[in-house]
Amino acid sequence: MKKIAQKLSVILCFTCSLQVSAQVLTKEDSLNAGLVAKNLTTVIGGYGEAAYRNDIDGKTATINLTRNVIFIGHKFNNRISLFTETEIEDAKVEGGEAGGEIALEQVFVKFNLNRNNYLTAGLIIPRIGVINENHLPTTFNTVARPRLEQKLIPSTWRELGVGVYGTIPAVNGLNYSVALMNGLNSEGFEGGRGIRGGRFEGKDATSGNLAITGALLYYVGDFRIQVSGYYGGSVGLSARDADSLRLNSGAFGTPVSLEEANIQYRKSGFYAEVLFAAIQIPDAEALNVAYAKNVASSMMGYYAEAGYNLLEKTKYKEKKFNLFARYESIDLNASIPENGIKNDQYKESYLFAGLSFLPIPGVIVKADFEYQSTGTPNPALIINPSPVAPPYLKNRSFFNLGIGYSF
Amino acid sequence: MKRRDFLHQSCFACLAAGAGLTLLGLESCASTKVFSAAPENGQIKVDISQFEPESNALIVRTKALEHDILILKTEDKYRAIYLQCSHQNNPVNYTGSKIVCNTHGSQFDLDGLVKVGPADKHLKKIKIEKDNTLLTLSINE
Repeated sequence: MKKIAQKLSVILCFTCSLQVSAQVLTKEDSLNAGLVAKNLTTVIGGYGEAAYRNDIDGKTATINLTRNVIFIGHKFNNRISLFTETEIEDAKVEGGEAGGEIALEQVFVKFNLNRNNYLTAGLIIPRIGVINENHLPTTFNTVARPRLEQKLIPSTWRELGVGVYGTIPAVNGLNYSVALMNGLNSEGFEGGRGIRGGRFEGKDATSGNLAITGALLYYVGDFRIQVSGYYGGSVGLSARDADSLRLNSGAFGTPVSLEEANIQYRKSGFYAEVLFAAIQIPDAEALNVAYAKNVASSMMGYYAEAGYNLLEKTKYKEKKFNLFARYESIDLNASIPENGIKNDQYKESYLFAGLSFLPIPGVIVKADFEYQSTGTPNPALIINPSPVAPPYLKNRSFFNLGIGYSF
Repeated sequence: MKRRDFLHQSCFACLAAGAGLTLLGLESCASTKVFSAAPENGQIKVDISQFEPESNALIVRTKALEHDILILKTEDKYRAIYLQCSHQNNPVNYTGSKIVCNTHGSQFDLDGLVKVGPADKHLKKIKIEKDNTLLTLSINE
C-alpha cells in the first residue's frame, strides 16, 4: 500500500511539473492573453462526429463513432508554427480486424513569409473542393460529408509537399494557393472507386512522380467563388519497372488531372452552393492492361445545395436551425477506355433533405433523409454470381442522425 | 479517350468558372490601404488622413502584433478589429463586405461577429479613441 502511495505521489508531482512548464493554452486563453505577440504557445483543438444510419429498404441500422480528431498547434515564434491533426476513425483499431484507422490528417510547419503570404511544408491538405480543406462536421449540414467529396474528390486528401498560400492585396478578397506534392499511385485506382485508393497520405509515398495543385478563392459581396486544379503523375516506379508494365513513369508520367469549381452564396440566413468536379486519366487503357482494375478515363459530378436558417428572423438567430436539401450526381465512369467495361452502377445520384441544429457554433445535431439511386450493375463484371444473392436495389433510402463538434 | 477531348474537358470547367469569377470581380476590384506604424507605450496613433478618399477601411500593421488591425469608418464613428481568427489564431482577411478566414472557412461581419463557423467566438475588438483627426489604438488592453 505504501509503495502504491509513493508511486501515485511521484506521478502526481510529474503531472504538476508538466502543467507548470508546458504553457499549454486553450485558444480562448491565448486570445485573452492580450494582443502583443507571444512566442512558445501551444493550442489544442479538435473535432469529431458520430452517426446513426438506418437503411430503410434493407431494414438494418448501424451506429458509429465516425471520427475523433485532436489538433495540436505550436507557435515557435511569430514566423514559424507547427500544425498537427491526429485522427482515430471508427472508435478503435484492433490488430487483425477490419475497420478503424489511426492516421495523421495533417502535419506541417508553416512559415509566414510576410503578412499576406505563407509557406507550408509537410503533410498538407490541398485546397480542392470545399470539404477537403474545411472538413469540420459543424460546417456541413448532412450527417456524412457530401458523397462527391468522398468519391470523386477523395477527402480528406493529404500528401507530402510544399505549399504557398496567400492573399492578393491588390484585390480585396482574392486568395491563391499553389502546392507541389508527391503524386498518386495508379495501382490503387479502381473502377467505381475513383482515385481514392491511389492516395499515399504521407506513408511511403513515391516522390519520383509529382503533382502540382493550385486554387483561386475569391470572396465578393455575398459570394465565395473558388476554382482549383490538380495535375500529377501516377506512376512512381523505376523506369525499368514502369516499362515492363508499359506505363510512363517520371514526374508527370501517366497523368491524372482534376478540375473543380464551386460557388457559395450566403445572405440573411439563406445559403446556396454548387460544386462541379471532373477527373481525367488519359492513360486509363494502359493502366487497365497493367493492373486490370477497369479504370475509367474520366469521371465527373456536381452537387447543389440550398438551405435556410429557420431562426434567422427570431431573437435566437445566433443559433442555427437549418432546413436544407442537396442533390448530387456522380458518374464514376463518364468515359472509359476501349479495354474498359462500362458499369451503370457507377452512375449515382443522391438526394438529401434534412435539418441541422447548432445550439452553439461548436456543436451540431443533424438529421437527414437520403435517397440513393444508381444504374443497373453490368453482369459482365460479376465474376462469380452468388445464387442466393439478394436482388440489387437501384433505389435505396436511408435515415441518418448525427452529432458533431469542433473546438 | 482522345487527347483532344481530354484537353477540352480539362480546360472547360476552369475556363467557365474563371470567366464567372472575373465577371463578378469586375465590380469590386479594390484594395485596402496598409498603414505601418510603431506603437508607443502600447498605443498606435493614426491620423484619419491615412484613409484613402472614398474608402472606409484602413489596415494598420505593426511589428509588435502578429496580425494586422482593421479600422472601419461609419460616418464619423470608428471601430478597430484584430485580424486574428478566434478559431485557431490564423490570420483573417477583409474582403470589403466581410472578414474571412481562409484556413477553415469562418466568416465574420464587419463588427467581427461570427456568421459562419467553425469559429465559435467573435473577433477581438481593439479600443479606439478619436481626438480631432487622430485615432489612438490601445493594443495592450
